[in-house]
Amino acid sequence: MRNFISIHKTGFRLLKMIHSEDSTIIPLHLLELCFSVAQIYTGLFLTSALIDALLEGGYEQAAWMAAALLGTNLVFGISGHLIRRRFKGLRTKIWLLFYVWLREKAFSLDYETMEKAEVAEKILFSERTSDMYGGLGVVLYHYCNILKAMLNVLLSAGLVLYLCQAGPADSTGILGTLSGPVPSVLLFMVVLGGMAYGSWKVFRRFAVKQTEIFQEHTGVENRISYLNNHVLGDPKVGKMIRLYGMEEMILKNFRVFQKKSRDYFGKMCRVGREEGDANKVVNSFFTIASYLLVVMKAVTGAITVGAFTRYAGALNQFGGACFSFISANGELRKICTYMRDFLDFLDMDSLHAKGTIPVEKRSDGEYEIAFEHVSFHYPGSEKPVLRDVNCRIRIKGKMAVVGRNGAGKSTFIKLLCRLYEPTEGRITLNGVDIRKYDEEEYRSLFGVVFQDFSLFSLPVWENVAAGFAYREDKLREALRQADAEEMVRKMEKGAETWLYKDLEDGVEISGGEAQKLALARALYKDAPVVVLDEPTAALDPKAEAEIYARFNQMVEGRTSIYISHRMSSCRFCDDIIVFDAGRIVERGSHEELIAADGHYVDLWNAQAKYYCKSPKT
Amino acid sequence: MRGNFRYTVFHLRQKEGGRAIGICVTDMILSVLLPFLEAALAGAVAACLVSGRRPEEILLLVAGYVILLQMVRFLQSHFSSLRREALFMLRLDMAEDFCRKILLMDGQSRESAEGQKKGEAAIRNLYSGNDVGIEAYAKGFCELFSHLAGLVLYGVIVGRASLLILLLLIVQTMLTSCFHMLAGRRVYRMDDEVEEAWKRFRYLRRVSVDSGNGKDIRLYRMDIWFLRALRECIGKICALLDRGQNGFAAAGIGQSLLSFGGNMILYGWLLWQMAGGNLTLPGFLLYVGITAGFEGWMRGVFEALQEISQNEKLMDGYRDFMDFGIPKEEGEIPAHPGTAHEICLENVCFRYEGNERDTIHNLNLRIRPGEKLALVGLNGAGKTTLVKLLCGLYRPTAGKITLDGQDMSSLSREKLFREFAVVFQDVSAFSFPLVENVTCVREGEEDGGKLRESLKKAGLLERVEELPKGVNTVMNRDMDPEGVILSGGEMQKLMLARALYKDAPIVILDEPTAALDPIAESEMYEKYDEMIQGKTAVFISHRLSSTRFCDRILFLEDGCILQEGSHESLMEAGGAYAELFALQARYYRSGTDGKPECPTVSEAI
Repeated sequence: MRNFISIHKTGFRLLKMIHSEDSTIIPLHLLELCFSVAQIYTGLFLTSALIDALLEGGYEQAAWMAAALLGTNLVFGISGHLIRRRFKGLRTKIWLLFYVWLREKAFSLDYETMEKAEVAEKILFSERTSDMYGGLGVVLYHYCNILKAMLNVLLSAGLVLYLCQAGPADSTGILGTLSGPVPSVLLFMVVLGGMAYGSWKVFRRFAVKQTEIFQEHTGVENRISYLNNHVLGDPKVGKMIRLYGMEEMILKNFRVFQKKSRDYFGKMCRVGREEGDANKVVNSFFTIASYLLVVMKAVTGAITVGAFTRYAGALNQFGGACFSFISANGELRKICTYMRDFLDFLDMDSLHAKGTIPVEKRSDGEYEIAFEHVSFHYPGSEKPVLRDVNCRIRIKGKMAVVGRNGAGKSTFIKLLCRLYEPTEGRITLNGVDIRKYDEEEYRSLFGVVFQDFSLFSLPVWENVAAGFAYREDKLREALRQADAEEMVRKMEKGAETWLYKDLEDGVEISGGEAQKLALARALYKDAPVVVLDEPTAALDPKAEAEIYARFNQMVEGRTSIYISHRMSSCRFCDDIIVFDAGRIVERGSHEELIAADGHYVDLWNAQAKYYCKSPKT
Repeated sequence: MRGNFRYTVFHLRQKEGGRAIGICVTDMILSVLLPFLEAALAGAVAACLVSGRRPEEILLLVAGYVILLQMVRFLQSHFSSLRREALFMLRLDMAEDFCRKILLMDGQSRESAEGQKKGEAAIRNLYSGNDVGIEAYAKGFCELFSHLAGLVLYGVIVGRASLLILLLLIVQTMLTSCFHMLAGRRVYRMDDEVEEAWKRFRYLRRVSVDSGNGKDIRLYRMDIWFLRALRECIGKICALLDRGQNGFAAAGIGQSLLSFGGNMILYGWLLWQMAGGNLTLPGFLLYVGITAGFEGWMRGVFEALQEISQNEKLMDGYRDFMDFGIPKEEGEIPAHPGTAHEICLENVCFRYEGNERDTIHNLNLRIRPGEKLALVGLNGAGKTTLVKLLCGLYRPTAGKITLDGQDMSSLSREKLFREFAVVFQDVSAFSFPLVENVTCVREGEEDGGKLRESLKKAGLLERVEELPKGVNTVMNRDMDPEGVILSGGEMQKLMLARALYKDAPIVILDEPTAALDPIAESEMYEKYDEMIQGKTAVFISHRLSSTRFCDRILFLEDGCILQEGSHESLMEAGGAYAELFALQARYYRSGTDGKPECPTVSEAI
């Protein structure tokens, strides 16, 4: 019972969400429901009246009844079509809104929370189940069925009770006695009770079974969809698979997942079928018993043949309504089980508070950022990535960050952009802990090109401006500075050209070209702090030199941070921070660091030795 | 394409067994029987009641009929579940054929625009849910047959009473079906527009929560953009659906009107017959039930036909893909497998489909066995394309490539690929255990010693040993929440380890150091000789320092070799290569303040 209540608690919350998004959906469904129930019962009454008239030989009256029957059918039919016209659109709308709500929440959570494996799993699970079993639209659909069934049960039960009152013409004999008002009410109650008991049993039993299966569902579909989307569906990895003869290995993996998936679905289908069968058996007993009851009434002369069809129809409705009530509840149980995961996600709190203080808008761009004893390890890992980092980032300075792979450079940037929060210590902006600032406002200070930046399958300008509108001159300037102006001009539709082929027949761009666009995006943002993480890794020497040459002008009047494995980039930065194993080990200008003969010199020489005069190493 | 029905039946039988066919047939029979028993019930009971038999007898007769009816009802629901299951499983099992096909088909065909388009169409046939694709197609046929059988049965019953009424029913249902088909065609015409909107929605949906995009979305406030775009997309989809539904609503109203008219005539005729004493009440009830059912059967036939024709397109696409890009019959085997080969390119041209210019133009090149070659050039010069040609992934548009004198296009791809170990620029690991990513065989089938050796040479062994499950750790988080995510530099080392494990006679490395730190890069250069000992090697890099340890440098521009020679000779010759080298070296040599060249490197030499 508790299970039953909690299902409907989830269900009602979802209905409320639907209603607050579009207030026409639920009333429209209610209207349709009333019409369809009304159609059933007027039909029953008119048909039985028609039969009685025919039995009495009143053909004229029968004709009138037939006309009334057909006329009401016409009216109900047309109004039903008119109402249902919008159902498909509306149901699709709420089904899809589910994904939007999920994303609204995801975006409102902080990056660190979203990066957690459990959270990602939760989202994936909700989405996949919604894809597979239908989402909110189905919830609404089943609630309509439940309501319709309840209305039906009430009306038909009323009719049947009314029927029970009719006494037989001849109340002698077993049949006659049983047809009396009191015995028939009792009999009817017994049949009804038996059915309610049986149905409840079935419901309980399968509720447990289905929950068990659901828990077994350990991301089977997840795996298959990974293979389909990222291994089989991605033609780009095909070359690797072929060259390395990985076909067999992947096929074997596929078979393992496939078998699991098959077993899972097989079990799910079997349990579903068994539940259906069990319900059908219970329902059959009810139908048989209730038919006998009504026929008994008819043969003893308690009711007319016309009335018999009416009551048989009512009982049919009753049985059908009970069945649909139960099966709709069963379906809701299934849906609400996974919808609860979705609601849990909506109720989830961010790991960190968002902060409230607005960031002081300074036209001079003088924002001073400082790291104070900052240590950090990634959630779920023990290994510290940054250890006791202290540094002050000079206003409008050109800073370079260098170090070996895994020294903590990229993490340093992520903390700076407040994608993660320090495990220990704090980062300050103009002396105030950055956690106290409004998150969005704080981030608006940074224009960043991440090492693994992403561009989307949208027109060039939407990628660069990252918004719905753009300023022509600003866009051109950003593209020019990123050395992408020429490239964009050469495209068929200029800045209107779509990237990639996911959506439109856009252009495929190389890694180097993508890097230029990402750089343009960072510059378009016009933020006081520019961070570039390996912005030239995919560029050829000429393009790299052009970016270098333009660097001064690009970051003029801004604070800039440049991360690169190409040590040459240190030459135009006046402040170099050297990371090693999570710590800042050295800091200074190129000349100072060379003179210090420390870790920086190792890094520098490792690369520079190949470029000096003597070719031998 | 013809024969989709045969194809489906064949696969159903092959994959789900003869039992599945039996289930479908039984379901069809029960689906006809059940509505008939239901329609006849009212008439039968009325007949009993007015027959004047003894009450107990009537009770027994009705009980017998209802029990029979319930049994059929139970069986019908049971078998239709079984049928649904069988067809669903068929779809699941077809996926394996599809998987094998994708993996084993010809690579260039797969990558081509045509191949990608066909592949997508084929995926839609299998992965669009229960109501689209092969599952729906098979279901359509089951429904078609049962509805046809019902139609014949009911038609015979009505026809025996009156041919005119049968004609009336046929005309009426034909007209309503026409309305529905018209509405359906209207929707069908909007198909492309709808599919476009769906595609956009799916794309936005996917990229907006892809974990790799999270940073950029947050930094550039693209969340607002995404949410708005998603909502706009939903608005568009729903508006299109509404437009389609308007057609169906109109058809529905037309149907209501027609059935009103038709039933007026029918009821009139039945009443007239009764009044004339030609028809009893039970007969009246039977005909009312049967005629109501007739319309249902006929509409069912049309709907099934529509379902079949809509999915026919998908079936065609699927089979088209399955027949596409079948690798050529087993070709020749390389004459000297496992030895350092000689590769010759003779007047080789290559042009991507739909392009107006050759990416590689009239290129002649001879790579000697054991030679160490460097390939340099600006972005877009054709370096990566050349690599794909060299290892046989692409076939030249014109000209010929030979391996030890054998024409490459005549060689068996599978055998040919064994001779190459290539590290591509775009690194990516599958979300399988690390060991499978390096060795390319299933976990447990690997050569442990060789694996360790390759990881060590690639400089990744230490990192791997730190992992909780060592080489058995799963990569990425798609499959295992505890999987490991490697950084860009580590991924490059992993790719290198894979190439080393393969131990093929020709090694091609495309930008293998882009994400490595200076020391790791330098170490790789130092170990390079050892790694490729006795092998033919091609090294591509924007880091011109890498050319130092290569025997010969090719400078590529616009798909042609502009310059070639050793580093020294090219530097002496001056020209494109020397300029490019100077450009990169400048920052390492002279200080911006005009200090002497190479100020700090003296001790490194």
